[in-house]
Amino acid sequence: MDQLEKYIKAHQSELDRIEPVDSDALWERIRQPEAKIRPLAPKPASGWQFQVGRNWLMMAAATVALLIGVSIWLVQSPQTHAQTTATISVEDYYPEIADEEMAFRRTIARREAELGLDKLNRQQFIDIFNELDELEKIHKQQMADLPEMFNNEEWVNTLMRYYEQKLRILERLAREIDKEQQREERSRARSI
Amino acid sequence: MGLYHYTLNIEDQQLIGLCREGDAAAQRVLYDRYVQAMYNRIVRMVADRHLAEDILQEVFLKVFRYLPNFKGDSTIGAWIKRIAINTTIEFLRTKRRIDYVDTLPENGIWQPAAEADAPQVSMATIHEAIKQLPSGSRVVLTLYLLEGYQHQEIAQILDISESTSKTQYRRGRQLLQDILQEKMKLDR
Repeated sequence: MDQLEKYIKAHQSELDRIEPVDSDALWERIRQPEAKIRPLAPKPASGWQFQVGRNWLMMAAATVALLIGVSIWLVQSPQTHAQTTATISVEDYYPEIADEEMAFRRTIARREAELGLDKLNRQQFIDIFNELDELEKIHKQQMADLPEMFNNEEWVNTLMRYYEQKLRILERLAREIDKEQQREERSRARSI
Repeated sequence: MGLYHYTLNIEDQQLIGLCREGDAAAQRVLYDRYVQAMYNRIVRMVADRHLAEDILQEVFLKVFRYLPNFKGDSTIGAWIKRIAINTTIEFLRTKRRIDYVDTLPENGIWQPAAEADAPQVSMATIHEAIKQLPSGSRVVLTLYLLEGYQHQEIAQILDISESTSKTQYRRGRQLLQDILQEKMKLDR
């Protein structure tokens, strides 16, 4: 580091105060788009509180509504379940990739439904399922980091890589299922 | 109730809590604390006052919008600074405002920068001199020397090679010395 660099480093804090800015005028500009300045709703807390109301009829109605809601949730397909459990929306942070992201999610959900992922015997394809679990774990962490990752191209690239990788794993799973079916058919043919 | 019914010494934690609730007075206090420093950082990188104001507006809109998700892993100042730098770089990249043309000096050879003496100039002069640098060297020099980024990180965020980052930095440093020496000559 030469003398000039050392000098700049030593007096760096002064650099923050050199050019004045018309902060009042800028504040007015910031305040104008009221809708934009409203803070995002905080992420939902992990726990939840239950308060007994005064009106038992309302409580009963709420309980019935809750039961109906749970029933609907239970009969929903796996892909809609996956979508509704997402508490953070990529669209809020990266609207420019919203369409592409949604297309990926639809493709993955369709492929998962075609493969009947929930009905498969995990033990039979344990390596692939472990890989999927690991990928999901990383993805979950990535999504948790989203609120502080706006304007981060690397974050977007990682998200896209996640979708691509998940699709590749699902294709591999499809091939393994095919092989397994062929093996079973050959075995059946031999036994006849 | 006036905008300034909170003292400027209010604890960050308390201030952040109020801002998260959408308290306009608290938001103004937070804004006042950081607006000057962020503006100077941005204007040094973009070298255009109006552009810097536009970016600064965007920065504070993001700050207030995303504050509920601020985890407190860093200081609030460091968090706002990161938003300011990311927003500025994103703007410069998308608008293709960074030029990495590496024009050679008149003799056709880049000399290693001579060991410069501590300059007899004010920091205001240095600030203006940085703004006069070509865009590529200006952004790289600002990120490396003033914001503490490493060349590897700069290469990643600006989508250039590490060697380009180093070249742009060396070039920026030499040009900065030249501008300051010229300025000192004129002042004598």
